[in-house]
Amino acid sequence: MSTVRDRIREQPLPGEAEAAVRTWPVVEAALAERQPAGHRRRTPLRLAIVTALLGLALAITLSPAGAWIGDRFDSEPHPSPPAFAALPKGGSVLAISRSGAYAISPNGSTQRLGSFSQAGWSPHGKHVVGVNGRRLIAVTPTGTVKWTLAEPRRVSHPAWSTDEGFALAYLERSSLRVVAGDGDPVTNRRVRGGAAAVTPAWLPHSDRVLTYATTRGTIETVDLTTRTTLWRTGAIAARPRSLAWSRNGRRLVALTSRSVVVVDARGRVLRTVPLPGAARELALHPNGTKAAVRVTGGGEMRVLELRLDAGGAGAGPREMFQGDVEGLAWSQNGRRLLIGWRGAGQWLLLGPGDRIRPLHDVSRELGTAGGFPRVAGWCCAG
Amino acid sequence: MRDVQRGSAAALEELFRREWPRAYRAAYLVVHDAAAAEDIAQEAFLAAVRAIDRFDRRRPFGPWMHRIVVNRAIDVTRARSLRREVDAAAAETAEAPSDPPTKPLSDDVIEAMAELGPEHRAVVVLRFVFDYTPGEIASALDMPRGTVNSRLRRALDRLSEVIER
Repeated sequence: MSTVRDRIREQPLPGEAEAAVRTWPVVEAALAERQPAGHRRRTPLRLAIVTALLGLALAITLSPAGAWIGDRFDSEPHPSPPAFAALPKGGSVLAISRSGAYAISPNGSTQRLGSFSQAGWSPHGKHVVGVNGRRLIAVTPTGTVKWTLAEPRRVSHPAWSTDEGFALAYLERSSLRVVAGDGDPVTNRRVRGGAAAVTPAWLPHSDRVLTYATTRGTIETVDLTTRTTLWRTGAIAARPRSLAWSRNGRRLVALTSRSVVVVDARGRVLRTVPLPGAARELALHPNGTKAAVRVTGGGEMRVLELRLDAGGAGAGPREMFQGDVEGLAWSQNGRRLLIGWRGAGQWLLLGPGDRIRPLHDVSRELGTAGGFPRVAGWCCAG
Repeated sequence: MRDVQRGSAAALEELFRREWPRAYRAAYLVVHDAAAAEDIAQEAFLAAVRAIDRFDRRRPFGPWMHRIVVNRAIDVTRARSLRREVDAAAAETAEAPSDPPTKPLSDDVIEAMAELGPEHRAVVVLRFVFDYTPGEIASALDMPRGTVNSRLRRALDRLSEVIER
């Protein structure tokens, strides 16, 4: 039986050396990110390690077994699958880098949409609205421009209403404005002044009730038809940075610099969940009972899962990931969280049971000139 | 391990060089797909680095890592089998065919491994790649020792048949 054993142990396998070369920098980056700042390696050591690894890869390639691998790769190349092919089928991801905004399909194809600093999906993923200076631009995921709207001053923080996307809210400086989903300028109107630089949140199943943060630190919900204020909170201790309604419209979640505030449908603060660090970003789970929050503290950046329902609010945050992260998006069914791991140049799919699936080298997929692409939205994926 | 916990990249590199070939091999022999094997082995290393501060140095690192790799590879193989069944049932409405699996190696033993079920492959990998005893395999895969022995026997019979052809 030694023959079987030997062949199982020693038969060269495709891709082993190349995979080692690709994986080592990722593993090394993971170690560097968890180190205290004072323990970081010196550059000469880093260079020595890289050199040694390249030497290892070369040695493997030039050895008899490696030559076999080289021959095989020369005659039958095995190109790496597109990084984005690991995305679940059924939805598309919106990414923004310095070179623009991109729609990414799960088959790995990418489409540049425009030079947008901010962007968001329409409810069914049929359109993307992007911001370029004073302009709002609506495009299809294939890059066809459907309409543009120019304002006298800089615009930001667009948000399409839910369900059919009949309306679109945005800010022009500190003015909250609304326009019809087809961009008809006749429908464009100012709703309120004194809006903070926070993306407004539409009440689910409505294109007339809108919640926004004020520059005074309060949260206000307005009925666009009657132009009345439905409710207003008192000043939140730390000003809201992001707002999100649960899908059933029963609770609004506001992220502040140090906490997550849960508000009911009448504007009453139900609970405040403190955070162990400075909050950067929040993604509310589709069922509204938990959220993923990116925080920094103690020289580390972490993604935490917070329970927001009454039963779990006291449970404390659970660490989902530690690393230099930017961009969080839940899948439609809430089974996966997509995050951008800048430190490793990867996106990661965090799944049930703490499973992690990496999407390698995403910067290269979208053109390295744009730098690391930030996850800006994930529409309609299963 | 102590040096890795202190943040030594050189120590981590030594650990990586020692463990990567076997981690990749174990994953590949169970999933028979290079891309998936790379993902699985990388996930295992990332999990190890993230948990390194909590790792008990009195326990050996290798078995902990091997267990992650093999169990994850079994999960991936099962999920793929299930997906193939679903895809077959929904073939008429499928948007696009799935990517073809990596072409298998020409080595007959490696090819014969692909004919075994994922649990049988895992038993063979743990026995012959990692040199686990049947008792240790039973513990790693959470199955009775008798089941390990019978699976190992059947797998070896099948692989021997292939070699003797």
